[in-house]
Amino acid sequence: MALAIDPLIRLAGVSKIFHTKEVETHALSGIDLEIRAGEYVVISGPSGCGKTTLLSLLGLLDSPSEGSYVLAGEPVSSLTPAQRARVRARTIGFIFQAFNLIGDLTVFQNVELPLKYRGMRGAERRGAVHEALERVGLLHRIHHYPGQLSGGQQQRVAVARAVAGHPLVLLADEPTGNLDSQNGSQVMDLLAELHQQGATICMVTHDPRYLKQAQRTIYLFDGRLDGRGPFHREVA
Amino acid sequence: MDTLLRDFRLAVRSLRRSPTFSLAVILTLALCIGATTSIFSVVYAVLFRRLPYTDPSGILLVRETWRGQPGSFSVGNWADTKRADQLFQHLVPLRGTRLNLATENAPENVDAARVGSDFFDLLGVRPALGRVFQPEEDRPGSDNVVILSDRLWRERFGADRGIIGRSVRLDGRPCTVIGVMPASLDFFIMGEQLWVPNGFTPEQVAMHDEHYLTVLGRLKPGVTRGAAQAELAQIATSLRERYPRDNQERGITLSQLDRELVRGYRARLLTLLGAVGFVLLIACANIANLLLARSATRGRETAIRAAVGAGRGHLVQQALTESLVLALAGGAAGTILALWGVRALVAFGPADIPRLVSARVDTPVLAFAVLLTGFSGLLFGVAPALRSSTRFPQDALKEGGRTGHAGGRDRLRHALVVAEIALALVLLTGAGLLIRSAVALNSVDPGFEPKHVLAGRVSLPASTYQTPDQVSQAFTEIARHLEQARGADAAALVSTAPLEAGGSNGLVPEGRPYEVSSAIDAMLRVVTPGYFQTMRITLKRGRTFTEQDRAGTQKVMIINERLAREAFPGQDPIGKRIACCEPEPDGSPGLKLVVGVVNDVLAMGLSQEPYPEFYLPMAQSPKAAWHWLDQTMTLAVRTTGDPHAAASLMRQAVTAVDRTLPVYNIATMDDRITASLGPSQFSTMLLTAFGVLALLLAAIGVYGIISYGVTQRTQEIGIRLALGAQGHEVLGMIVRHGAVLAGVGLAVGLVTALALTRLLSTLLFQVSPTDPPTFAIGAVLLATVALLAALLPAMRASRVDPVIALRYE
Repeated sequence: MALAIDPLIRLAGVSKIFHTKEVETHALSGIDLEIRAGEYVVISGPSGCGKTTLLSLLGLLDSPSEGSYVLAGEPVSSLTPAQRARVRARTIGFIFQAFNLIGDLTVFQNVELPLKYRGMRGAERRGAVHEALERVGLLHRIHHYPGQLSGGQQQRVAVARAVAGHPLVLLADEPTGNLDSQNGSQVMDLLAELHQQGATICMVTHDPRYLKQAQRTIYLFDGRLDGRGPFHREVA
Repeated sequence: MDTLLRDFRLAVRSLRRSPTFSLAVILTLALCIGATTSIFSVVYAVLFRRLPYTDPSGILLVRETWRGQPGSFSVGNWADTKRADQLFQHLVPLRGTRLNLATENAPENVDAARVGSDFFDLLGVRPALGRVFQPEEDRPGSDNVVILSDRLWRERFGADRGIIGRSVRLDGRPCTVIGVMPASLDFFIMGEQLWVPNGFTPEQVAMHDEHYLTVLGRLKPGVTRGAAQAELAQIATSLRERYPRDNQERGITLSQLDRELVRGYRARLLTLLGAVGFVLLIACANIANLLLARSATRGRETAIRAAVGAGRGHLVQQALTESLVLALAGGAAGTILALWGVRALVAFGPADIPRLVSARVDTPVLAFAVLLTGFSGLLFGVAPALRSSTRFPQDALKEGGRTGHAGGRDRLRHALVVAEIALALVLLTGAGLLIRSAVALNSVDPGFEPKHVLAGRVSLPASTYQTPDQVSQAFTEIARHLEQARGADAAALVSTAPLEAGGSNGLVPEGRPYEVSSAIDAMLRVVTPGYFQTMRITLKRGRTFTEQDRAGTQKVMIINERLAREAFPGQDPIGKRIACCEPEPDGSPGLKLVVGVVNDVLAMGLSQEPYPEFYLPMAQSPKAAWHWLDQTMTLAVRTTGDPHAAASLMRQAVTAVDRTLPVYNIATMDDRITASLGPSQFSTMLLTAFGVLALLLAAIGVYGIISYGVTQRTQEIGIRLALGAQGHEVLGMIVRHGAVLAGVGLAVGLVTALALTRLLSTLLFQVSPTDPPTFAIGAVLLATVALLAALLPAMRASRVDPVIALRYE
C-alpha cells in the first residue's frame, strides 16, 4: 500500500480574472491541480489557453483571484508581493523561453543573482554557482557575457541560474522555443537529467516531441483543465 | 536641394506627430537662446559696439599720474603739455559739471561738459543741426555758446528745428544755442546733456596745483603710441623740473578711451555671458539625450531605410535636419523672447553701466542669434544623428532571444548627464559665491546711519554768485533755513555726501617737511556743524564743529581714524596741526588744528577700504574751495518718518534764499547705497537665476535618463523581481544608478568650479573664490535634486509587474 504523501503543489478552485475598463477576462477558471515532489509535469494547450497565466501563479509572480494555492504545505495564495518575492527566491527556479539573462552581467553574476536576493553569503554563493555551472557544463565560460554565448549555451546558463539555489520546483516556460532542434534537445536532456536527480519540474510547451519526456501532461483549454486531466499517466 | 527640402518636410511632419516632445525641446531652446541673446546684446552694446566716433580706437585718454596712480590734469599742466607736444593732432581738455538751464520752463539742473573747442573735431562727429565751437569761442567773455545733445533737444525743446540761434540761460548767463549733436552721440563720456567751451582764464592756465581735467588726445597720422608715451614722459620730467612744488612724483600716461570706459564692467558682463552659455550647453545636453532616446525608438525605421538603400550620409542628413528644424523653431522663438529680455535688462540694470540704454536686438545681435541657433542645433543633433546611422539593418529586423539590457547602459547619454551636472555645479557655486558676497556687502557698516536721511544738491551759478563770500553767505543762509525747518530732526550741508564723487587734497602733518613727498592724499568734506549729528557719524575723540568755528577764529579740522593713523601713528591727534589747502597770506603753510576724530565712513563705496578724510567747517572753508567744489553743496536732512517728505523742506530752504535755484539729485541715503550696490546685485540676481535654471535642467536630465533607463530595463527589472528581488532592492538599484551619475558629475563639476570660480575674484567681497561652505552647499543641493529626480522613476521601477518576465514579444 503506497503511503499518502502531501503534494508539493496544490491548487484548489483557482481562477484568475483580469479586469480592464470595459472587459473582464477569465484567464483561468476552477483549476484543481496537484504536483508531487519529484514529478515531471508538462502543461500544454493552444495559444491563449492560459498556460503562461497558470505558470505565473505557480511561480508566485501573480496571485489567484479565487481559490487556494498551497506550496510545500504553506498557503501562499494571499501573500503580499514582498512575501511572494521571498518565497519565490527560496523555492522557485525559473527557466524562460527568452533565456532572460541580463546582458551587462557575466555568466557568474547571472547565476548568482537569485542567491543574492535570497541573502546567501558570498563564499556560499560562489560555491553554489560553480556547482550549478558544472552541472550544465559551462564552468569554463564563467566570466563571459551572454552576448558571447550561443542560444543553447545561454539557455543552459539560465538552467544553472534556476537550479543554483536548489529550489523546490523548476518552472520552465517553453525552454526550447528559441532554440534549434539540436540545442533544444540538449536542454531537454539536461532537464531530464535534473529530474532523474530528483528535481520537480513543471514545464509549459507546445512541442509534441517533448511531451513524452514528462510523466504527466496537463491540458488547458480556454482557461480550464481539459476533461482528460489530472490523470496520472505513468511513463515506463 | 530637393533632398534637403524633402528632409525638411519629413522632419516637420515627424515632429508634428510628437507634439509633446517637440514643444518641450522648442520651449527649452527658446528660453535658453533668448536668455543668451539678451545677455549678448548687453555685452555687445557695452563692450564691443563701436563708439559713434571716427576711429574710436584712436581716441586716447591722457592722464597725469601721482605716485603711479592715474588722476586728472591741472589746467597749467595741460596748457604746457599742449604747447610742448609735437605728436598729437588734438589734445582736448574736458570736465564734467552741472549747470542750471533756464528757459520758459522751470529751471533745471543738467549734466554738462566744458570742453575744448576742437572736442568734436577730435571725435570726428558733425552736428545734426548748426555748427561746432570755433577756437575764438573758447575764451573768457566769448564762451557764451552752447551745443545741445539730441536727447535734451527733444525732451526739453520739443525737437524744435528753429533752435539754432536761440538764447537760453545757463547758470544765469545768457548763451546762444549754436548746434545740436546727432542721437548717435547720446552715449556720453560723462553723462553730459550739453557742451560749453572751457573758456580758461589766464589765471587758470597758470595754475598747476589743481587737478580736475580729463584730457583726450588723438595722435597725428603715422605716430605710434610708444613714441607719444616717450614724448609725454619727457614733458612730465620737464614739468617736474619747472614746477617742483606742484608736480613732484607726477607723470603722464596713455590708454585707449573705449577700453577704459568699460574696464570696470568687462569681467562682470563676460561672466554673465559665460554663465548663460553654460545654461545653453546644459539645455543642449538635455535635448541631445532626448534625441538619442528618440532615435533608439526609431531604430527599426532607420534600419528599413538603410535596408532599402539609404546611405549613411542620407541618414545623418535626415537626422540632422530634424535637429536643425527644432533649433530654428527654438531660435526664432528665443529671438522674440530676447526683445523683451533686452528691455527688461535695460530697465532693471544699474544705470551706471555705460551704454546699457543702447542695448537692443540689432543686426549684429540677430547675427549672433542665428549663429547660436545653428551651433546649438549641430551641438545637440550631431551625436544622435551619427548614432542613428550606425545601426545594422539586420539587427533591427531580426527576431530571436534577447538579453534584458537594451539601452539601459548608454555611455554617451550618461556622459551627457554627467556633463550637465558638472556645469550646473559650476553655475550654482558661482551664484552661491556672489550671493555670499552680496550678503557680506549688505552687512557692511557704512560708518553712518543711512535710514531716514534725504540728500539733494544745490549749485550756485558763477554768474550770480561771483565771489567766495557771496557763495559762503548764500549757503550759510540755506543752512540756517534748513536747520530751522519744522519736520527736520537734524539738517546740515556737506560738500559731498558719502558715496558721492569728491575731490582730494594733499595734507602734511606738522613736523614733516612741507613738500609733496610728505603729503597724505585725503578726501575733503566741507560741512556745517550739524553734519555729524545728521549722518550719525560717531565722534571718537575730541569735539565736533560749533558755531564758534567761523571766519577769523582758530582754523580747525576734524579727521577720520584712517587719517589719524597715517598722520600721527601711535599718537593722540587732538591738538596737533595739519597743513592743507591754501597757504597763509605770508606764504607759510595753512595749518589747521585737529579738534576731533570721527569713525571711518566708507565714502568710496561699501566694498572699498576707508580713505583718509578730513572735514573743514563751511564757515572757515578756503576761498579756493568754492572753485574746487564748483560752488555746489549737498543738503542732508534727517527725519523721523518718511525721509521723502524732507524734499519740500529742502526746496523751501533754497527758494527762501534764491527762487531760481533748483534742488537736484534728491534721493535717500538708503537709495544711494542700494544704487551703489546695483552692479553687484544685478549680476548676482542674474547668475542666481541661471543657477536655478541650470539646476532645473540638470534635474530634468537626470530624471530623463533614469526614466528612460527604467523603461528600457523593464524586462530586466521584471526578471530580477521574478528571481526574488524585493521592490526596495530594485528601487535602490535605480537610485544608485542616479547617485553614481550625480557623484561623477559632482566630482567633475567640483574640479571645473575650482578652476573657473577664480575668474570671479574681482567680483567677490570678503569671500574666497574657493569658499568651502559655498561649494559644499552647491554640491549637496545638486545631489539632493538629482537623487529626487532619480527617485520618481525608481519608484516606478519597483512597481513593475514581475509577470512581464514571462511575456515574450
